Amino acid sequence: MKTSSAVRALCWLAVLLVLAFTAVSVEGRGGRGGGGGRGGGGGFSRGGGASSGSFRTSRPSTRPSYSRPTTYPSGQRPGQVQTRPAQRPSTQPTRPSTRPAERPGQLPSRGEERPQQPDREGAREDWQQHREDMQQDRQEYGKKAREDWQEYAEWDEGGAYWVGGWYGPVVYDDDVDEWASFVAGIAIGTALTSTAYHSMRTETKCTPVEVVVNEITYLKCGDNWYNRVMQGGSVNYVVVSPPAGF
Amino acid sequence: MRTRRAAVRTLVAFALACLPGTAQGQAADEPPGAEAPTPLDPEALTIARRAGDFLREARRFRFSAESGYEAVQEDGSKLEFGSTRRYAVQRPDRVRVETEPREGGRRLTLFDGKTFIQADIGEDAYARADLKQARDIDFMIELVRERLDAPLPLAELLRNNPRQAIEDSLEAADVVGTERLRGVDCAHLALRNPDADVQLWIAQGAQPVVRRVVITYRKLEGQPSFWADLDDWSFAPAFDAATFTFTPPAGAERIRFEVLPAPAGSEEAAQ
Repeated sequence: MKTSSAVRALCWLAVLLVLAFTAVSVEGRGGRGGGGGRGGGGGFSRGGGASSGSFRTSRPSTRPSYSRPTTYPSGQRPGQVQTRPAQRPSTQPTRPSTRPAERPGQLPSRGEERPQQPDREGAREDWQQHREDMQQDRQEYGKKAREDWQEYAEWDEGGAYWVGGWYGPVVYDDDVDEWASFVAGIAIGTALTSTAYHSMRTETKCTPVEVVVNEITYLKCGDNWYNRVMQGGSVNYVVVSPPAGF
Repeated sequence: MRTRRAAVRTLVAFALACLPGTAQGQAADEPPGAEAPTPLDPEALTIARRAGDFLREARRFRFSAESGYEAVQEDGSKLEFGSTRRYAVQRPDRVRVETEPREGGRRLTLFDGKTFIQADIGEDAYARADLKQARDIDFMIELVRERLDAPLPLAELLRNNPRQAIEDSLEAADVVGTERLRGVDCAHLALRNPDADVQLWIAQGAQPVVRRVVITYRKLEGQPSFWADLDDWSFAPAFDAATFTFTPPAGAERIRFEVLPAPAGSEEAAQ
């Protein structure tokens, strides 16, 4: 009997300790997010597979690396019929990040909703990561840019695909379920969410120079040129090569 | 931090073991050979199919959805984010989805069979793609999810054959019971496919519309969930020419889409 009472007391003690620890943990997390303003605060991840709201899992992720533009896969030509698998294997390159992997391999700061309000800590991480990526990317830029433009040029010459304007990404051929992207600029760095971009601007006190070349708007901040792209339903900023003449 | 988490885990395990009637304890008490629920309950299938068919026959409709989803954090905790969306559908090829994320901004997805638009109103930018030939809503959903990597929650209900989308790869279906949601009696269904547990609350009566959806992604790390409450169903909406077309605001910049490469493993990508 005495043993039973002792066990019961220990149980209650355990429950109380759990509650105490939980309270401390919640407080700690809240503190981390402090200062982020409305919308959540620093470093919280907003992405993840659940944001899709799909009855089935979207293919596990797949955001391509920005060290290279998303041109059509090398060697592709019009007329090739593809069989699209129900689910995409997660074998594609992913962008390195300082943030947690939300959807496996997905650009971490992207999700259903992206913060519109300042997310300084997260934005800073993105920006710092972005700068590191830039250094690395630049080294390979020359070679890749050449390859990518060659790839595009071949497509253009093929002529069998219709491209919806210079920025139109959709290339659709009758009865052939194939898609390809058209690259306006040459992406040589990582993508920044609009929040990260605006944070970078503030931190570097940059007033971007806007240049329109061939109907494409380029933004120059420091040494970098950016294009805005529609990515996952919202605007991102990607680092591109300078426009012709700059 | 790790030490603290380990301590919490140990204490939780100990506390649960002490409490009477825990799930673990019950499972152990169940007699062997207890009857498992029918994998595909005919009544559940009937209700789901009726809802799907009703939606398929609705050629024009509107609804709104208040939704949330769990984002799993690095430390395993989950945070909820969400949006309000307004959907307008005209079968077989027109869709308008207005999205207002909780944190601000407004986004728009438009498709009229030939032209696809995504606009980020807060950023004063939009992207547009013109298709060479007319396509339907199912094609647009494929485009958005597979190549633009953009979320389009509840797209299964927009498809031209919602019943097929709901029944896709069902492994289990059951009727949990009748429950009242926001004043409407609904059949609560528990469906299971290889990826997720899908709960649907389908209104009883002449209009068997989906009133609530909860999806738990079993195979994703942390098993996050998505939920949506669906309201304002209208099957006689007043659509006009502007419903499915986009007039860029003055000064809005047209930008390009970022398109994902073809799915790995496809013939296209393997070439």
